[in-house]
Amino acid sequence: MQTSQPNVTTRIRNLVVGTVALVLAACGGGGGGGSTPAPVTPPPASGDTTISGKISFERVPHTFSNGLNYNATTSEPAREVVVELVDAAGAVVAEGQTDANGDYSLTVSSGQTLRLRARAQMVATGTPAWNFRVVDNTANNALYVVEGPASVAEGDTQTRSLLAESGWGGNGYTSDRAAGPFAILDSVYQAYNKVLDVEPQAVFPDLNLHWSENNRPVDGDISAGEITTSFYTRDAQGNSAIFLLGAANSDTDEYDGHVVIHEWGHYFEDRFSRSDSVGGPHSGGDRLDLRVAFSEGYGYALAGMVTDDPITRDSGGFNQGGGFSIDVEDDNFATNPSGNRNPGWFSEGSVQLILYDLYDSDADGIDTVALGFGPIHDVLTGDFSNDTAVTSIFSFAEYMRAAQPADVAGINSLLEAKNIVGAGNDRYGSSETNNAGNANDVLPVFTPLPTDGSPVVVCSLGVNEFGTFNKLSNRRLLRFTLGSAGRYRIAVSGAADPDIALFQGDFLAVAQLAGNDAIERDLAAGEYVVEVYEFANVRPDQAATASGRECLTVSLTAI
Amino acid sequence: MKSLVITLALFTPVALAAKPSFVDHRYSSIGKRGAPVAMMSAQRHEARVGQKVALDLRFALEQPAQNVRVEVNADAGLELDKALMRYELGARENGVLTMPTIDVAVREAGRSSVNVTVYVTDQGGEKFKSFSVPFSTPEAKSVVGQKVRLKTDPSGQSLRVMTARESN
Repeated sequence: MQTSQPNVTTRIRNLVVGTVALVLAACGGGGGGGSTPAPVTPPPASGDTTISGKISFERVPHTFSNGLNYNATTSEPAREVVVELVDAAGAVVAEGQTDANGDYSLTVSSGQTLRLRARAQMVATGTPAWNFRVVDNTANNALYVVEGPASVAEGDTQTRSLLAESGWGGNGYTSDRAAGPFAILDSVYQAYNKVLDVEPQAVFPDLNLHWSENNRPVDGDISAGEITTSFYTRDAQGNSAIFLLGAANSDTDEYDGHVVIHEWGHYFEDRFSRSDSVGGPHSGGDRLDLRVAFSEGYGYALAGMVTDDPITRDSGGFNQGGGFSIDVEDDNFATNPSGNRNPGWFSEGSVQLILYDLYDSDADGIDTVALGFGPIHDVLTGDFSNDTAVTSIFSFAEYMRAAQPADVAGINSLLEAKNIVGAGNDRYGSSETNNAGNANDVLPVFTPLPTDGSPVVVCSLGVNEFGTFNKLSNRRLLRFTLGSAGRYRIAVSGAADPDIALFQGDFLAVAQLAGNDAIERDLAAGEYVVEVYEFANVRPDQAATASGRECLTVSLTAI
Repeated sequence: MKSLVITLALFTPVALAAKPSFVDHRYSSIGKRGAPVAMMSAQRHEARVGQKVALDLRFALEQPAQNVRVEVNADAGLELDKALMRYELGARENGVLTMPTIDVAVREAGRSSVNVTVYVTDQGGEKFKSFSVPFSTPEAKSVVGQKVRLKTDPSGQSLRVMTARESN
């Protein structure tokens, strides 16, 4: 669990501008989907004007065919966003935030000519705390704001409301797509409030969500919008960042709330839990590295949990008229082959179906478990995040079984329905029997590595089996347990360019030179995981060349 | 007329670079799901205003499809024969799909893209994957169509200002 204080802004609380009082309780915290208290506005002093109103944005829903339905656009409250009144010189003379209904109230000295501004930012300091901002990566990461016209503050009270519009002109975007940043923030609002429901004191590290109408599915210069796809990452300084597509007639994600929450889920697992995923392309029917399968399946399941809507809709194409959906509740192969194709511990489709069934209260088929979000959150942020085994459905299931002994049979039934061994299995998948149709190079999930120097051989699979980079058995995992501390050498040889990495929960070391590799290191007693692979099978830029089954010899010796 | 061949390969961005820059094994970028069609390894194309470029697109279909449909459009600044070009490719086995050549005329200086969306229908219904072919003119690198208002707030934060409608 992340408990350290992030570098959240304190500017709201510290703001003192002339004689203006900040009336709205800043950074109220708590949220809670309607639990935020309404603004409390004391009577204005003589000569003051209380300006209040609502900040709203347009949300464009999806059609049943997953495109955007502009004809059904609704106006939604911009919840817990920062609002300001600024003068002609740009000075902020009053500042606060909207409540859970999008309402705000600020008091200023009368007679000033002021402009109402809403920032695409939700911020709270103290405990709980957060600072979520939507910025334009194609404009030097400028923070999105919307502004209304300047007018004089006069009288005791005044109403000023703003609507951030979609910018849709009937056959294309014809004006500012001002609603986009606020639609993104609203999905984040839903997500962090889901966490606050079960962890009211959560302190969320800062997160910037980068969105632009220039963000398009092409690999290149991120500052020009060439982001390839929507994704989560950490920048060079370790700050969390989500990038979201916005290119009209191609792929836009600002109204694809499940996609936004999916990426936010990667932020959450990174900062509150743990993910060992190596990233890369993934699809429901893929046989993936088990770490990728868990991370991506969890992301779609989380989106379903946050919204209580199991269907992710991803819109795109000409006029955003097309798209596809992912149903994390439909366990029927006939109607949802994408989610339940090639089921197993290596399938994100299987993971998302299992996690959502653990969460939801619908008793469908073999699903008799209805845990809600709390127990899932507790496992993700508990021992699962510190385990020596890698993050996978195996480790998640073991800790869930331990936490919910009354539901062990139900949990195992969900696993077994996806061709994953439940009863008797452990967090390393030691009893797993599903080899994805490959009898030689998939099981055991973790190959035991002898500590007496005896070599073992495992094979790294390439493009002709399950694909490359992040697919099943591109990278082979081994495990060993040291009874005593000492200095050890772990070596890998064979193939053209074998590489090796060492983990003990955390990443410890990697050797990735040309040719054979070895790691020499002082190690404490305990459990360790080793990863080996042929580099040609994991190169992101070499999906189809110089890749194939390569067998590697691995050994561990005390030195 | 120049002829360009675009090789397509799906990839979510990852921090893992060619060795020896392997720094942090864990937590490369993690992106949303891709559809079952491979995406281009994007190349940037430079062409001057008035020039016409022939695009030859190829896709790698990862699974057999009951139907494949491709839509192509272009940003302002580029011009195709039609505003929206549709290609019905029908049922396809997995493997490489080759598109008919597309003529792209460069009408305005700047940076813009041809947008390609591939719709794939399989047992799971229709899915899509979009990707873009970026073009720029050597005389201008600014982003086409972006008219940005920027301000700076008192804290020094740069602001991207958009207009909201009064809704009192």
